[in-house]
Amino acid sequence: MFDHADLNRLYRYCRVLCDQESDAYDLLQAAMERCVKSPPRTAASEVGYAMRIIRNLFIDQLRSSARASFEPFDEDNVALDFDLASLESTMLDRSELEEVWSEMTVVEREILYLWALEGYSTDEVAGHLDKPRNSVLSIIHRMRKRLKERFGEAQSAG
Amino acid sequence: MRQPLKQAIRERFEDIELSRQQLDELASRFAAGDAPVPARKPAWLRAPAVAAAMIVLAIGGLFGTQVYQSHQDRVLLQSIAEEVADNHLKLKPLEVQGSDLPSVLGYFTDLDFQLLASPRITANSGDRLLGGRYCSIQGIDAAQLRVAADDGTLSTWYEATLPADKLRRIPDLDRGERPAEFMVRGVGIHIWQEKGIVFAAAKAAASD
Repeated sequence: MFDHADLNRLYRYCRVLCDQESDAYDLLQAAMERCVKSPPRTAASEVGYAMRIIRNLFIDQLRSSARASFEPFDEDNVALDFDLASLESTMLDRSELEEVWSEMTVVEREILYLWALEGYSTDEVAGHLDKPRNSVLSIIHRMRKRLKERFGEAQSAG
Repeated sequence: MRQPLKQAIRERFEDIELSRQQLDELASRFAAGDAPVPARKPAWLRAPAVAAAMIVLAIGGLFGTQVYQSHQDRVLLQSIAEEVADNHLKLKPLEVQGSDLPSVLGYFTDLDFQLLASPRITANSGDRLLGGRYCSIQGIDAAQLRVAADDGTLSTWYEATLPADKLRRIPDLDRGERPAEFMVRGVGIHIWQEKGIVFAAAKAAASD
């Protein structure tokens, strides 16, 4: 059903959602079981299908354990003129990334992962998260603002 | 050293992989081909579907079979295109560097097939071979070659092999067929076969 490359790809996505390696592996196993019980309709959509299952299981786990919660998507008056392309020019080193990464919400990490590793567009990210595009843009806007405030303009030249 | 955010995130995740033990465990539990068929629907739902299928078969006959095979071909090619796009976008470090195609191909000694020095790989004037690395296509070890164009645009080329039942679904240039074309996440991809070797070429789609 999935080759090693697919499994590693899905595992990385689990690691975006779970801080602990063991939690990520448990999540991947649970998702695989679900995929086997309810396989996707086409082979082409297997990985995307599995990613959606992983996300749904993760949200279920969060709800049941109440360990954390998603930030509400505030549709306030922030300027929604930043899409993922606005992050293209952000420059930072590995330690700065680790620092920022550890402070990000799960949704922020997910957005960055889907953008950087899966090559998703803003619309595709919104589709995967099942959220309105403006909500995603709002999150991107806040992320970019924080990067600029933290590291200065030089970090986000674009 | 500072680098673009996207690249930094990619590198952060490059090292994250399942252990061999975990892969083996997952493989044994969820081996390819073990996936059960979807749960059967109730009989009252199945009956119309069966009748419809029989009608389609009766009317479509050979045409229906061809449509199904064509769909299956497309599913396989799309799956390969997704893998190729992944490999292209990741741009993992080269394992062998060089601009001489036969020399670079000589690096790949662990493959179960004979690599071809296809002239298409550096067919455009100004194209420069940078090197290559091992990768996998459909779970089988393959070769990835990286080529830089005059303007710095990178393209990646793949040579792979597939089992006969899959290979026959790949467009064959030797039979006058044209490469299959895909656009996956901004990457333009061509897939074909020559002399029984599966080729794929990927490069960023030109922006208008």
